Amino acid sequence: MTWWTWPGLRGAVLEQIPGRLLDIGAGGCCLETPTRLASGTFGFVEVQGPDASIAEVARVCDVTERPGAAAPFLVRLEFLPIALPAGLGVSDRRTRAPEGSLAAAAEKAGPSLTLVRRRRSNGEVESVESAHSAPDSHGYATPERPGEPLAERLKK
Amino acid sequence: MDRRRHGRYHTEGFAEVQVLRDVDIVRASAREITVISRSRAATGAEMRMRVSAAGGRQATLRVRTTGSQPQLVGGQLRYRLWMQVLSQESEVTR
Repeated sequence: MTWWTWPGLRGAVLEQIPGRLLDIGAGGCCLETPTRLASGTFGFVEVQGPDASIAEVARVCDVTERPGAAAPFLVRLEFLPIALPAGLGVSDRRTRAPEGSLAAAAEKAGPSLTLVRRRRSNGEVESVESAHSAPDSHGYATPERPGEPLAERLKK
Repeated sequence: MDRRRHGRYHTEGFAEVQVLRDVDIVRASAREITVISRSRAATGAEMRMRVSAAGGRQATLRVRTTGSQPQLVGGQLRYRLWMQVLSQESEVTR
């Protein structure tokens, strides 16, 4: 039986919305986006700085509309204590990061932010651990299921 | 652990948010799918769609928007999106 013949068919689209990071903390971040996101929407946010990237499961807390702005929506996201897939990398938080950088923010925040990649001086990108799998992480992490897409887990 | 007690760090960077938005499927075939969505999609935009049905059946499709039209549904602004099914990535039954 093929999918389009299934009775009671329901659908969900995975949308990828670009944004610009305004500020970030251990509990969440604030982005400028061209698209409105409804409060309460769950999603996955990845922030790419010049020296590092972070990835978190997040929930939209608040949206402010700024008519006339190039990116008219100010979206505040709360990071959720849900473990990221194990495939995101291995631990290395010991290297000091430049002050004011995204990597430094993640370093200060400890296990609350998930640093997933860091760019070496030669431009190569290396993997860094999903902080939620660290021993000193919070206690809410779900068991790792590498084979299951994150989008599937978000729908549960 | 209350992560809100931690500090706030100003920095800059590009961000991408991935969200799952429910859509109502109006019509579906092997090649095309028509949905009613809360958000518009640009013609030509490619995205992934998960379709599911009773019994835990799920399939993930790669689709491309071929057209969109705003319309009112119950007094709410919605968009009718016509999509071309590019490929089926997986199909599972739980």
